[in-house]
Amino acid sequence: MQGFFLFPDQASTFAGPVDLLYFVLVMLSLLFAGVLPFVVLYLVVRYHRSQQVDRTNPPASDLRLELTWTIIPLILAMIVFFWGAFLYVQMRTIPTQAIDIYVIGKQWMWHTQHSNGKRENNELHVPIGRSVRLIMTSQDVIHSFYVPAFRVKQDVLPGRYTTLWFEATQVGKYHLFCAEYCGTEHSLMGGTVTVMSQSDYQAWLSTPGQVIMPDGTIQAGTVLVNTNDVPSKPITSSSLSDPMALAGEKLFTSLGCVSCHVMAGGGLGPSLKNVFGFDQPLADGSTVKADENYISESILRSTAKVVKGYAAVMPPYQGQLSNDQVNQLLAYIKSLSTRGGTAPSEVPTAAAGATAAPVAADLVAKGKSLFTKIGCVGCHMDNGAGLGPRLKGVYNSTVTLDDGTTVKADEAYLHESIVTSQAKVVKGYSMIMPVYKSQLKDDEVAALIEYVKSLGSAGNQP
Amino acid sequence: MSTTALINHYATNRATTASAWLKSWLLTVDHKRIAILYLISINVFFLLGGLAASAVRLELVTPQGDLMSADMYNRMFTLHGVIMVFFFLIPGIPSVLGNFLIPLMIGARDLAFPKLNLLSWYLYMGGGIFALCAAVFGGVDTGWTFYTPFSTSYSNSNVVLTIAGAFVMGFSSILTGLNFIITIHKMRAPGLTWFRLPLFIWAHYATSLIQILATPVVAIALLLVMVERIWHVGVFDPAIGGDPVLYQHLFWFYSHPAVYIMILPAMGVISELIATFSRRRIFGYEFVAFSSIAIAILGFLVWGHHMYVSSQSVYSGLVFGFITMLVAIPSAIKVFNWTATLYKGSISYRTPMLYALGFIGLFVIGGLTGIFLSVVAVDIHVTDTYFVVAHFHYVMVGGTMMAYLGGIHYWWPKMTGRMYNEAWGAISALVVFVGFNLTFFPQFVMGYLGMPRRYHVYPQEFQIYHVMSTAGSTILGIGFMIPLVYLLLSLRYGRLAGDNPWNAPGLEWQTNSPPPTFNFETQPIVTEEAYAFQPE
Repeated sequence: MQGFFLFPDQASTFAGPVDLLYFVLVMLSLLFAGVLPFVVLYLVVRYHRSQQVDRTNPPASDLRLELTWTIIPLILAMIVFFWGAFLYVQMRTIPTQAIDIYVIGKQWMWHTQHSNGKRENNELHVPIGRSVRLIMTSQDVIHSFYVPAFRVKQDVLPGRYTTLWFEATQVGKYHLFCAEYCGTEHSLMGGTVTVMSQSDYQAWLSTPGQVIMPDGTIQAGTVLVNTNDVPSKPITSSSLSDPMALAGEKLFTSLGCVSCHVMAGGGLGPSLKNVFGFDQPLADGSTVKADENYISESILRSTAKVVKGYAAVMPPYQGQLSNDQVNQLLAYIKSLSTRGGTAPSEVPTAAAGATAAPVAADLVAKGKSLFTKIGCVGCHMDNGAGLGPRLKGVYNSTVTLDDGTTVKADEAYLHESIVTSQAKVVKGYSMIMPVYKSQLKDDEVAALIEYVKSLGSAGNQP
Repeated sequence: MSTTALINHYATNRATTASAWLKSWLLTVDHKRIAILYLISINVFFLLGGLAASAVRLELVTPQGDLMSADMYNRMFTLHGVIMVFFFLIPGIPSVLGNFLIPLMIGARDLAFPKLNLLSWYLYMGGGIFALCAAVFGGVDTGWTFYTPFSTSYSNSNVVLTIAGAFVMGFSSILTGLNFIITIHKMRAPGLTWFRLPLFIWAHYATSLIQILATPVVAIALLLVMVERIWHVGVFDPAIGGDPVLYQHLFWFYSHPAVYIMILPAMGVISELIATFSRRRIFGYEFVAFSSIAIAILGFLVWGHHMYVSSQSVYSGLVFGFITMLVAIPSAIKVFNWTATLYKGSISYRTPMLYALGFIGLFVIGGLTGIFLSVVAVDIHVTDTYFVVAHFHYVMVGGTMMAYLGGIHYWWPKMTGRMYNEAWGAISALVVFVGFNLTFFPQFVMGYLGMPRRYHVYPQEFQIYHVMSTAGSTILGIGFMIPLVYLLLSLRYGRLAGDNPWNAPGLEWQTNSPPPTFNFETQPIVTEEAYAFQPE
């Protein structure tokens, strides 16, 4: 058994203000609960039936007295209420510079996922002195994310996102509890929140650990890193440099979302550029703000709230995507918006970059798998009925373009058509293919070109 | 006398054989007998709920789960909650004391619908048997709140049976409320105007309003849980298209007012006790009367304060917090008026008065910590912790239970014709008060430190508070056992009470103890306000 304490650790910017308010409430309570019993005791002794005291003309009622003990407590109650309300609004106003961390609750475990894809079980590592926003959902029943040392708590609901933010102020390890009863092992659903210095946190982020891959599987002993150029300074909005968003983009492509949600507009689905954080007009004339809940609802139950001007043709993905995968898609869609979430600073690139990049022996095989994985196959269909032209026998053939000119489909043209896809579009097709310039590395483009070449060239079909 | 006064009176005027005697009880339409049926059954449920609480407290002596499995622990706190809330606290004072006293206090022969009153008892027993069957056939592990989608899609326990019990019990509550409202409106003795009514009647009137308006909502919510659980109709579970928070709205729309169903009658009892043992009219009678109505109305507008962290918007959090803060005012008015009643009174320290004074002390702490919880920023930290557990036990046990015991002692001579042992009475009141505080005060401290509720195992640093709490609960348990013994003994050995042992002016004291079947020999006519005490 340990000693007797009255206040828990203070480890966030909320702890001090909440404790002060609590302390004032205790003092005000003592004013009543400490004095009233003595008044009662005095009266019951003084007016005990055995006492010979003046009992003439006992007052039946007194309006002034009634008003006094109505109005004074009312004023005190209003003071503490508005004080608490002010603090509450602060606790619910999420700073724009917050680091996003995704949290998934399930019976009886917490999963957390950092923006670089690093995943933890029943643990959460956060940097000191940075606002952290938790974007939380549950796989099964209602849970509640509770860190007493931070004085924060938020229920975590299935089928919906809730958020919570804090800024840690004290390095150390603190309890993480589930505060909403969730079944047999409810009391074991918890762990620790570790507050680290910012440099320690950066180092921790880059050590290999569990990572969630775009297909929803979990790989241990690795770390996802940026696959394209990353600024080494903190960036203000989540971008494709953020591996979780990148994983989301891969998923976005492999699911074929990309064939309808054409970012340049004109697709069957709306462009997703600058969607997150903005109001979306719906068919019924109302608007809805595209937050985590709206986006995930639009993925899972896609026909629920369709944007004005579009038909409800998107298949619902309920049951086909894990919570982790939905979170990755969210991170990607946020990265497309100027109002997206913010990423942690300085996601390190150097150390693991080399290890993560697979060395492909066979460029064609790599190109083929990329072709499927990023979803090219969804439009460039073999039977020629796709949104994009069929690629069999294209290499070295002469292609007629939109403006009537022709061009020889050599390597340079193929490269250009992948990297800046809308430069020279084949006649009869529209400019809907996304630009892969910033998303594919040179060797990946080369692999794709090799693959297209392998599909046969003009007059020399395999 | 060879037989007890209770049995003597209630048995001899109709029955001669054992089966006729049993029939005379089980088919009675006399509100006093029905009240005694309730008294016995409610106390049996209280004992069962208390046993479950003891199991919970014993398990929590050590941080590890060593006395029982997690599943058993979860079933125990659920059993404790379900029984205490639905089968003790909600029906408690209205069904026993209200049933017995409302007709007597207003000078009526019975309630407006005596057969409906008996039906209410059978519904109560039916609901109770459902809930007990659920416990016997393996228990239920959802907590008394039955939160979805855990209760509808994930729990592997007897949810439907338990909910059916609460559902059936709800009808008992609605019918009782209906009966009381009509009785109070239509059957008052000549001259008994609204402002001559004892405050006990005002409190029960306010309670009955809540019972008939709020109970149907929880009945619907519970029915929907059963429908979703049995037929998988998506109402609350998002996996099949439902909304899990919708359940919380429906549930708390009843269950918050239900707290006032528990505490308002208790406040009515306390008003009677303080008036009688100070020999004074309650100070500020109208303010106390209308504060009951104000609490009943405000009570309907604060359900969202159970849901500050359940994804509610900031604005709803602020509005619910504000209205919750307002509930503190009528509660404070009552406490101040009771205190002012003592001034220039002629006070005697009898057992009911000791319970009443204990009630004031504990209710003040329960009420003040309620203010902590309506300060939203503080509530976020302490909700779903032991702070909340301590708060509602201060209100429900410190409030309702103290008033129930005080009321039972006060009207015991009227109900049975016998006096209980005054010395043991004083001892029990003291033991309950000390045991209660030792049990629940440490829970405020550990709640603020972050100890979540409904935890089977917990971190080491909370052990000291749990040990104190369990020690206190042992004392509290003894405190509850003492009255059970001496009250039962008084049925045989207690001295005869006489019609008006407290020399009180209420109508219930103007008839025999125990009262005859139709209460009054002649129709009483009221010419004075309530609490017109004669100088001694």
